[in-house]
Amino acid sequence: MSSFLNIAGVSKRYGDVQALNNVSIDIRENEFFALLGPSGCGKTTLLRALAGLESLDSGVVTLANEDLLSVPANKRPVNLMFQSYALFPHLNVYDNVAYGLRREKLDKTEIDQRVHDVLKTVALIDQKDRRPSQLSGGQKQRVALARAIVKRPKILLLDEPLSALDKKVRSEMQLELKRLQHEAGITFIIVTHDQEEAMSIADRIALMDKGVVVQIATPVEMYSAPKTKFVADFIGTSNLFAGTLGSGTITVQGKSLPTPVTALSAGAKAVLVLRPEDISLGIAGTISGTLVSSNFYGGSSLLFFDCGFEQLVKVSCALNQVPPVGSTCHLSWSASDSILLADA
Amino acid sequence: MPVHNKLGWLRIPLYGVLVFLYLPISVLIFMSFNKSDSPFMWTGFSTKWYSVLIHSPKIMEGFKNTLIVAIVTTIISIVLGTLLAIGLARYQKSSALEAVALTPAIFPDLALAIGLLALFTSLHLTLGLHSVIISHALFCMAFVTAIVRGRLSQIDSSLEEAAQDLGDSAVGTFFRITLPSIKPAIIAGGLLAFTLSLDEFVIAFFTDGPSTPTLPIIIYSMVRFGVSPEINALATVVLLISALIVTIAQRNVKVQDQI
Repeated sequence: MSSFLNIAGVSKRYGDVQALNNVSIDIRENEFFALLGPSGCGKTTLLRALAGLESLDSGVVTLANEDLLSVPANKRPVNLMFQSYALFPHLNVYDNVAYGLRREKLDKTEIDQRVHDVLKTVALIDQKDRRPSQLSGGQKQRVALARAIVKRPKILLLDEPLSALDKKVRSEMQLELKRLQHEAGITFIIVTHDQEEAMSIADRIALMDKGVVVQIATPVEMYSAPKTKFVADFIGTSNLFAGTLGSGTITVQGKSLPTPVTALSAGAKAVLVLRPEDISLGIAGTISGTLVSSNFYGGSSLLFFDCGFEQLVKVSCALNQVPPVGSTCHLSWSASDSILLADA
Repeated sequence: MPVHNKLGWLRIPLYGVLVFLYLPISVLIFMSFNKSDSPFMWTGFSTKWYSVLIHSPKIMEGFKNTLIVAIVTTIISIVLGTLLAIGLARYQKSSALEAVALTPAIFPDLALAIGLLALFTSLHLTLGLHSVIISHALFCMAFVTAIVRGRLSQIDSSLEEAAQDLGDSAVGTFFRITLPSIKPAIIAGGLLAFTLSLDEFVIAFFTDGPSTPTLPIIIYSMVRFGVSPEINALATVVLLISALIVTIAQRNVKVQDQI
């Protein structure tokens, strides 16, 4: 598929801080794309620049082959759903949603039709005369969403849309967002710092750090083939062993661990990435350690072993197989399940 | 047991302070209904001093002048004060500038009055209601700015961005989003400016021309030759207008807090 939104080499500096450093991303039509990263990585700056609320120092952004950056914010076929929702407090739900359509000077019956349709889609038709102050967090979020999609933008930008909701409502809204994106046929770009949210919701993710795009990939690729130590650490839970490569092994804090097939040469600094679910407990194993604590997560538990390394080793384990705390276990894994990355 | 019953002996100083605060005003209102010619001796109930007020061309002229000054001052203060507040809140985030903009509210009246008189004289400006209006607007504006500025810092600046994102122009955003959000503060500030201007004496005394005295100046000139009973009635009227306006202003701010 060809590129729909093309972000090419954009940079932005605030004083001493390089918020965006030569960022290039191609986003496809009807894609659910996530900009993921820790706070201060530049993801929100990029989103606000796409909405036209922030200017860029350099770079080009085109939407369907037309320049986007020269179009003022109020003329862009792009709408932003704000983190704070930014609902107009003096207007009721209906007028909030109709606000953007009225600015397009559409005729009254069409506005009425479209507002009613979208309020039905987000199940808020009974609340249409309420003021934002009379709504719950989840309802406010849906009004903000309705207000943005009723304009039928080419791209909907969502700035941490679920961060203000509690965990249960959040997972419901994730499903809701996916359904809406599918129904409306709009390209969604979501900004989030929550890797689980990005993994569960997005078709593709761009992981950013300190103004730079570190990796662009599907959630599965990003989890199974992280490009750098930062990606491996940020996405999912992982054990990271930094050490020096030998032939077929890596020496980590005096211990030798097996490595997968690698193009890196012996003697290089490297990091071995081992996911907790790839490690199994048994009688014999590569390393052994004492169980320090276990965290219960419903179906499975995450166990922490002291294996003589500086950090504890994390192992995921089915609930009925959790050994008692203090017991010594042997940890084994297949070298081909681990990932070896060059350590800068 | 209700909390107020636990006050105990603290009730004595509480009522003492309340009496201290409200006794002079109560005496004023009470004596304004006195039949006697002497402002200090009660002889019976009468509203004759109020009708004396209405039939005194001098007082009615002063009342008209005062209303003109207060209304025009309020309009100027609202427009300039609001614009200044928006500028301070949105465009020029400098605490020094903010201090400079808000300080006129606490200038000593006398210093301001002498300064203004010196300025007007050196500019060869004839004194009259216009010079009083300029002077009053100068300090009333600072009050409007302070109140509107406070409101602006409470409202989410992403509201304005959201309006633009939804396709509104900068001007449309101002009238449809910014102005409705700060309207209660503008009304409260305007009413405050009105009451401040209404009974302002020192600055008006220095900057007014001789042919257009405002009400406080007339009251002053009447009192100089002894307190006549209609002064009580006049002061009561001014008091009631101020109290009414302050009440409206406070209700307005409360309504705004509920939104």
